[in-house]
Amino acid sequence: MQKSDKPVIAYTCSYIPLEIIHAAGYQPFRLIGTTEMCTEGETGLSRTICPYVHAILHNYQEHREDIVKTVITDSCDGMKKLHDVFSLEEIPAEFISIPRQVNDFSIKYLAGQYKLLYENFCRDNSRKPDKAQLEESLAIYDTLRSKLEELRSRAYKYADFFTIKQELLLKDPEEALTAVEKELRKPKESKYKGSGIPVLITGSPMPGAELLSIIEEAGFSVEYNDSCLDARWTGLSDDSRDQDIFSNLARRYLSKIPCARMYERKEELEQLSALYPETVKGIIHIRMPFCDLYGFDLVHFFDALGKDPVLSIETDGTPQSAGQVKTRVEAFAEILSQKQKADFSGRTAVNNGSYYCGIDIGSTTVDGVILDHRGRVCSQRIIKTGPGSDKASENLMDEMLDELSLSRKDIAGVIATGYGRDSLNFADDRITEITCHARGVLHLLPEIRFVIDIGGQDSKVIKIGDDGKVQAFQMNDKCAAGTGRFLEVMAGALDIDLPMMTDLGKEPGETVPISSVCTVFAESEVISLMGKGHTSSSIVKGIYRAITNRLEGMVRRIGFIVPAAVTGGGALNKGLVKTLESRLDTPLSVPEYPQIVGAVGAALFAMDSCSQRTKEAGS
Amino acid sequence: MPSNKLIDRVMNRLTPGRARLAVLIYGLRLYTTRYNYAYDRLHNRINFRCFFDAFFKPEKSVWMTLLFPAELLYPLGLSPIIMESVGGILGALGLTRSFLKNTIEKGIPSSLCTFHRAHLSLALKNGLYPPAFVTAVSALCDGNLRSLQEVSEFFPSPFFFIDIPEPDTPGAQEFLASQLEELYSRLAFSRRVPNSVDRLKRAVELAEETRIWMNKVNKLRAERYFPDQPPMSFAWNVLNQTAHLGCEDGRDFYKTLYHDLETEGKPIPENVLRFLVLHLPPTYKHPAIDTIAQKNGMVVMEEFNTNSWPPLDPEDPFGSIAERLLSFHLIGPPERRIRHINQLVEQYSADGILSFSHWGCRHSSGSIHMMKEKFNAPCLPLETDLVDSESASEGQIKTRIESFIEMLDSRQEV
Repeated sequence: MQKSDKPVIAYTCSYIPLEIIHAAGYQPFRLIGTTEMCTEGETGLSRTICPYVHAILHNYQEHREDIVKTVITDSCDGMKKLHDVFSLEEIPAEFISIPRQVNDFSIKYLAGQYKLLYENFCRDNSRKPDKAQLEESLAIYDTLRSKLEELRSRAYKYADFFTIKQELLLKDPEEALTAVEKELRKPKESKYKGSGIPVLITGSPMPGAELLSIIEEAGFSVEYNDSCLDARWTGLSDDSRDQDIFSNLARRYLSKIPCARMYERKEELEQLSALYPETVKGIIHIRMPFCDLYGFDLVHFFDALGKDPVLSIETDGTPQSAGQVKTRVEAFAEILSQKQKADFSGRTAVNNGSYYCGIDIGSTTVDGVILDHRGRVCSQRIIKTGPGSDKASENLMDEMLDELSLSRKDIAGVIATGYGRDSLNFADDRITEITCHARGVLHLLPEIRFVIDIGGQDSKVIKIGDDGKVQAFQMNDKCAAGTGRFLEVMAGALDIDLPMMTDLGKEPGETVPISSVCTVFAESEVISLMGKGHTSSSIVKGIYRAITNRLEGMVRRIGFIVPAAVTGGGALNKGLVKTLESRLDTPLSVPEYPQIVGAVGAALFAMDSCSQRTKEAGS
Repeated sequence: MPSNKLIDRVMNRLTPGRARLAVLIYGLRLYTTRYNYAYDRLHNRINFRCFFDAFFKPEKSVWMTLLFPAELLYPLGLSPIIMESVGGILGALGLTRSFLKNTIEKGIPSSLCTFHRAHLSLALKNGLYPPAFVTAVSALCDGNLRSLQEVSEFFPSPFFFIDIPEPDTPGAQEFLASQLEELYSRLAFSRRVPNSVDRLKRAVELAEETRIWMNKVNKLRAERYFPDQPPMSFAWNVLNQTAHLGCEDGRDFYKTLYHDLETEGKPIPENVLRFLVLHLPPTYKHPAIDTIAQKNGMVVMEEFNTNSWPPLDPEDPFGSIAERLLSFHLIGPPERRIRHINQLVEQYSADGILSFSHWGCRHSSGSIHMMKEKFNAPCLPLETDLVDSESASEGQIKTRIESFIEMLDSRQEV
């Protein structure tokens, strides 16, 4: 928090006028928190309240010494529960009810509350309500808001602008104005603006700029961020037809760009959808877990634009989930830019070899493949991912080379994929496992249009268009429920190995439902089911059903098409594949070596790029 | 129970016409069932009537959320059906899994309350007729506005929305009353109902009579019960205090229940453990309720069946309805709910409180762990899904309830 000589009033929502806090002689401070705070420690709130609300509470606790009072709104159920915490712990707070519709009744009602809020603040600060002061504050913030818009139009990296904007709005407005003018006098930088794929970001508020940086680094340029931490924060309406200053404020704030709780959100969504495909090439929809309101926005985007130009990311924003988010965003960029060739410009050595290598560094195993110039698999290796995966990958490649009696210079290109792709320093390029999987499957089984990949610690589903390009995909979240790990843990609980599991699953008989979606709880559930005397066979079928439920959810989210294939280590479990087949009501193909599909795809991309380069060199 | 696959196959061929058939079969079953008590028969029939109207007279049917004031609908010849009760029926029939699936395909988050997902799914599966209109209130649940808006667009039917503000804020009652008045006069005008104000006054009179009988029933329930009825058989009375408020059926239901309880009910035995249940009850046979019954426990009252409504004044219908809505203890500051629960604990001499923390319901369970410290009886918050029976892990629930009961027993011995 910026230290200031004024006492501080904290607030939680963009529908609270900063003007009122400022005019009463306070320094407004928005409780946003950081991404780390989203999952930090326990609070009195249940775990089904969204991480953003938890972050706000942690943010308050960090600054509670400096905060005189906090203004909370009833913007969503989570925020109402936040107010419960303040109320039950007797922390000084004001509670403002924000109407969900814009009409004369609601403006009158909100104006009444704003007025009372102002009077309360003035009383707390032993001041007399002063209309002139309020008008002055209004004018200052209006100037600041327009200056901030000017700052946005300058060529900043968007993530930086986002951070600067938040910092400025936490300052005293006069000070912020001086700072923003100083920024505006700096020479224009045009390094980032317009260089990436234009994209619209929308959804739940997400503290911190980390996610925005990931998006920009993946090759996007953020055209518009429909978030209450940016556009919806300061995008007030300029309709000030009322005589009364509070009615004016209420009208302006209530008619600002509506958030997902508002009745008018539907119209806003139509406007946002209309930005595609001219202004933006894609929409990134961010949703905090348990935020249902923004979930409904997604329904609208799917209906209006189809699933292809929309990437839906559900994340709690924690640094731990950054890797998964990065893969999704990069894969989305690969889809939109139709990236099919890697950039080999950095490689100067002349390659006369005709072998290509793909390495898939997953969470459980590292898979390597060497293809010859006809795309045939000459060598393949799978090793466990230990600590230091780059060393292991190097050994793996050397082993493959030894097997073929080749040397490094015979390999024309190496592409890394999988979550550890960035750590492989001898790779020529990195492509996400989503794109590589699609490519690999099409090479091994050309008719396939849908892939269900059951990996060690993550699973994904990919939809492939007739042009062979990825159309849509889904990955599991920080949860092992639909993955190979789930199977392993359950087999451990049953004290059997995975092949035995397949045999047990084939036996006729009933299926015991496993209700827990969490791997840890499911394990104890399996143990208690065994204690109750259920047969292993019926439990195995229950396990298959639980994992299938999870996978089916992902499949349905992007829309199922046939013919489909199962890949990844999970595909080796025939019982699971069979359950999945019966659930999806279609036969599923399994490649001969389902684990190396991603690596094959990566090697194929290496081959593409080399032949492209040869052509360029020849012409 | 039929297999998931069979259910899927049937559901994928669902049309409103076929759903009609299902409603008829369901109705036939209700009408041929023998009921032990007159109130039970009445409860089933008046609630079936809502379903019947939704499928056979959709032009007079209105889809609404819990808490929408039905007093505004009966005077206009409309027949309300509560969306949450649709989820309830699907849950009771064990059909939810098949229904919940297609909402995921649509992009609807899986963390949304299953009551909402169930009715959304039924609409998406094309199993409903477009009603006269769809309506929602904002109170109690974030999902209300957007999910009902979605349903109305899907039909498509007109959508009306009542914003229930936080009580205790300045001008809240006026804000709410003016919305009610505007909506009512708009509907009365468009449906060309003569003497609409007089009719509304009559509806508020009936609502007031319902309130009086309901309170008499609630008072009597502290002492009497029906030993031969299944545990928690009163749970869904909440439908009668919302969907049937403002009509004769609603009043008659509570009148009949009072009469039945007085003449045929038995005094509650002294040695049972008396439970108060918070939030909505499960829609299916839930292991928690069974365990309570097996362990000499009894549910003496359900939170949603109680109220702190002020007397309703037919001369000021909109102000009165607004006051009634704002008096609901589940909205407003947490102290209000705590005060209400503690009154109930005293009135019903509750030994323990069981709070159903419904998956997806942030409102009822978000701060329950803090609130329970202030209740005057021990409270067990039970995280479970009230609609999706497959999500209930019997072993875990049984262990929790049993150890809670053991704890209550040991307290009583001391």
